Amino acid sequence: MVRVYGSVVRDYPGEYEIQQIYNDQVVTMQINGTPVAVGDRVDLLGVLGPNNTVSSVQKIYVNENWKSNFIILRSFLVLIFMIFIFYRYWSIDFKKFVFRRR
Amino acid sequence: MPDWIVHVAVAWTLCRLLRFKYPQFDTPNTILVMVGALMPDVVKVVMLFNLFGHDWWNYIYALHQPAGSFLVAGFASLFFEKKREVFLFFSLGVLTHYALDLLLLQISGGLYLLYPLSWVTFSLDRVPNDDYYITILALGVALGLYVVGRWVEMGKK
Repeated sequence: MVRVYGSVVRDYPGEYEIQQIYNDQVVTMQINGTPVAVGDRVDLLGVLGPNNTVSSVQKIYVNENWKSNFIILRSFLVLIFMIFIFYRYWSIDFKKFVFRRR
Repeated sequence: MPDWIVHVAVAWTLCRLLRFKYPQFDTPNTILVMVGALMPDVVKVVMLFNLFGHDWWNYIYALHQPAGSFLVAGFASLFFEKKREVFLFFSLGVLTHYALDLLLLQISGGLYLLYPLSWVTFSLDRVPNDDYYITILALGVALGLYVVGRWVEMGKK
């Protein structure tokens, strides 16, 4: 039993391919199971077969592409908000290199 | 992770509730807790490296465990005058982060909360990580509390 995750790059009837970067190498896995849309991120638990094939998927979680992008977008907006609000209430003293309350 | 809106909103909500009783939870310190709530997700910097074909996840994943996050909080608190106090506020934020991450659905295992003492994993398996209803709920609660807080403060004047 293995856990694999990655982005769906190809979709065939009854199977699909996912790709992930693992230890700086692009690894492509073939998954036998209900197809999902290209671009979606898949995280699953299945039985590893020959030639990077995964069958008998026990548990699967599909992250739709737009939902993944939406998370990144709203988290990025929070990052900007946090930087703004932090500098609103805290300032940096460059001489001592410490943050002080404004 | 629930998205960062949830982490920040829950940290703010907790601090606003505590502020009714403890004046230490003023706005600057609340911001420290909110920053602490995002600290475990410094590991998300791997997403930038992924864009260039590098996988750094295994190298920095330990920072998304409580022990690693407290180390990050400790390091960050060195850049403040009241280091101990700031570290405690950051740590409260870190704790809210893991409390929320415990809710996430996991394919296998969960969070290594006791790492490096134990490899036991914890998960409540409740919420998918791309769920935005929890975001709306967290924002709604925070907004409601903000209104109540303003109303209470106006009543005191």
